[in-house]
Amino acid sequence: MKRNRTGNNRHFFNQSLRTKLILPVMITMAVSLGINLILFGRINTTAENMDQVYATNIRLGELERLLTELETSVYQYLNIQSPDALKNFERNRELFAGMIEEIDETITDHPARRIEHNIRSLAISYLDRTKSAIAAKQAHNVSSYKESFEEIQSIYTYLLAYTRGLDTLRFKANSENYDVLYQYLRYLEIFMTSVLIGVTGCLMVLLYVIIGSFTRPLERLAGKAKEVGRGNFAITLEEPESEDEVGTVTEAFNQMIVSINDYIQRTRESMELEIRMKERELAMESLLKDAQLKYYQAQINPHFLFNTLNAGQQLAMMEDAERTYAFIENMASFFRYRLKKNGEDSTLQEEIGLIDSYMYIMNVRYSNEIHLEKEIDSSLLDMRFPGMVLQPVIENALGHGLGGVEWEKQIWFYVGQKNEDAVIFIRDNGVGIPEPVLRELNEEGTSRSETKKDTGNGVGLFNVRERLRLYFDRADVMTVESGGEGKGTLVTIQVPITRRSEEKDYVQDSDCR
Amino acid sequence: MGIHSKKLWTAMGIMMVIWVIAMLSGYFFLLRKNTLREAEYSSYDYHIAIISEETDTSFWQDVYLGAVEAGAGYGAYVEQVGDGLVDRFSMEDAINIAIYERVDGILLRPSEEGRIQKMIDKACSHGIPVITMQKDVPDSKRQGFVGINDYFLGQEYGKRVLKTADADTRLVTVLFPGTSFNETSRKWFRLGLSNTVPQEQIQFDFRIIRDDKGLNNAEDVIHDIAKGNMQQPDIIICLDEVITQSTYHLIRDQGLSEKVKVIGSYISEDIIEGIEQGYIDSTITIDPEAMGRMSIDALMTYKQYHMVSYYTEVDTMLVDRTLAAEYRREMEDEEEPDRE
Repeated sequence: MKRNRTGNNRHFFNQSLRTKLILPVMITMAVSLGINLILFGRINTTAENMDQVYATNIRLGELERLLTELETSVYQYLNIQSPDALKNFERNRELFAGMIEEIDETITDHPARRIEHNIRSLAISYLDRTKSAIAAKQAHNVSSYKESFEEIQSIYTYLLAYTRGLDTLRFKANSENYDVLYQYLRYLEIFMTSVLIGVTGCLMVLLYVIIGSFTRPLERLAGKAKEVGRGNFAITLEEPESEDEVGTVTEAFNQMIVSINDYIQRTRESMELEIRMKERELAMESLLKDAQLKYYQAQINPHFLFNTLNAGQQLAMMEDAERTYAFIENMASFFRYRLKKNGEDSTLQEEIGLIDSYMYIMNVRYSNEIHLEKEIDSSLLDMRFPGMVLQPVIENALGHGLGGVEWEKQIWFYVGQKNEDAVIFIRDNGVGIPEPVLRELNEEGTSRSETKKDTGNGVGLFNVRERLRLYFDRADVMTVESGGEGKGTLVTIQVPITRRSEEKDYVQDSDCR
Repeated sequence: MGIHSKKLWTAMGIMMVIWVIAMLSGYFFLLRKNTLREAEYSSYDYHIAIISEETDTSFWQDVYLGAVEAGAGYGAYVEQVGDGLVDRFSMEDAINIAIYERVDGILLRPSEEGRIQKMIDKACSHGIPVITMQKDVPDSKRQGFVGINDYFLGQEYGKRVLKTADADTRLVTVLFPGTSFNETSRKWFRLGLSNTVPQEQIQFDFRIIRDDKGLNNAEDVIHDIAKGNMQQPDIIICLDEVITQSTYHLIRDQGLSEKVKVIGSYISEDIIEGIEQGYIDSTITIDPEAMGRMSIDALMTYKQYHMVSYYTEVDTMLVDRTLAAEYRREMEDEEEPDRE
């Protein structure tokens, strides 16, 4: 809807509430005022027209009055020759002549002007005759002024008849005009009433629509606020319809909802993280316990073992059996390390030492059948590494990979650096691992099946991988590859390089012993 | 605001504008229709007075119209003296008024009054040309006469009497309107009539219908004839419009149409109706419009050349039953435009 409304309309809706309320009221008032002014203007014109029409009547009355006075003064002068009458006559004559001069002398067929023209002609004749009558009187020409007086009287009668005729005509016209004007005012009344009704109606509709345009969003906003109050923060946000105060409130409300949701999300994430870390801690603990348990099952009483081994060592020394002495010594250090470092934080160097001891023991056992080739980047020897990780891999290679092979048994051990990571390859030329097993080994979360595969005193590749993961907090720490059956196995461990000095907090394994 | 709010606003805006326009245009339309209009009028160079005592008859109205139309062609305004006034003036006063109004000419249908000749002479002495119409005042100083000679008129009626009369026709009554037929007129008319109808068995009875303050005694005279107080005529000749109409109504009311034939004068709707219904045999008329027109022509000719033909004859025509229908059609055609 927002996009639908464009141009002025949009512009109007973006105005403040005050403007939106005042503007339509002002416009409708202006329209109403304008219409009324026009109509009043017409009334004025009509009234003026009517005044004009009656004004002619007033002038006609004056003309008639002057004529009568003139007639009286003529009569008086001719009868008694009074100088006052003559004075009156002269004055009235001038006034009368002035009025007559004003009358248009054009011959027309206009009903009133025609009579006016006749009055003018008759009046001129009248004035001529009065003039000659006065002159005759002054010259004492009795017969002449008597004849003129008769004429004057006739013309006076005609003039009166004409002025009355004109008066009647005017009166008739005025009556008709009055009727028209009356009708006109009636029409005007109806029009004005309709205009006022219309304007009021329009204004009401306009205000209804406009007030609705800001109360409706407010109502919706209130509804949303209630929902939020009930704890539902997953509401759809109200789109602000305009840029007025309601729009501002809606926007502020939306911002509030977004902020609250944001805060909730962050809290949830930190809680989840905490839970995850707790879980990791527990898992690690559980794995270590698992490993320790397995180890405990296999372990002999250490004091007895070490005493026995010491006795054997002394015996070998007494008999000058150096190889036996070395064997027993290696065996002792192997077990010591295992007992000491199982589950503890160690270094790569210590891990490699354990491998060496283990390989010595194994080669004594298998008559130097197994060849171990090592290639080690010495700079990585002091890197932190979880204890008892590499030996189980070698053990796994000897136990599963090279267990029953007829050919020369070979293990390659390589430690190098790749980018920021330490890379450890442990490869054998044993029987390899069948594809389904391999897939299972590389899959995530195969603890159960892997656990099943654990045999003897080996802790198992699964355990190794899980410990590496937990220790380095990284998923892709170990991969197991095989060319297939009879093609050997390659275990690749890739872990970040951390040294003692960079040591961070991590879950310490408790002493299990 | 709904999805249609833009449409709503537009519709509302348009409706409001249309409403305001409709109101104003309606108002101004009514204003135009009922406005205080001043009558349309034309200006003229000449002012001609036309004077008659019988201003109300349709015959005279036609004469007047003919004169007005012809006058307009010359730039002359033809005014009936006293028209539109409350007071009615005598013919003498009317001529006086015309003189004092210093009109450019007078068209006069003289009445019987003796002073008319003097008044005509007075007007002429003031330099106002006078043309007499229909009836002449031969002894006056009038500049011309337009109409028909009473002798010729008598002959016209005589011809119709001959056509109407049969072997049983014995008496023809002639009803003269006193106002328009003076003694001289009556003498010439009688002569014309009797010279045309030589039959000895046909007698003529001449009666004068007197005008008494606007009312005539035609009804009494005809009533006497109908009641048998006088000898019942076979033919009645009525020499003006009012007498013709009175006679027609009495003949019809008394059921005398089989016995008495009426030969009327002039034409009016009433007279045409009488002819159509067979109560009036026929009517003899001069073309009133032509007479008005010809009078103006004569007056304007005099104004231009200071001389004009002394006597201009207007043709008469006889309207009987066969011509009445045609006349009615013409009358209706003329009325049509007026109704619009």
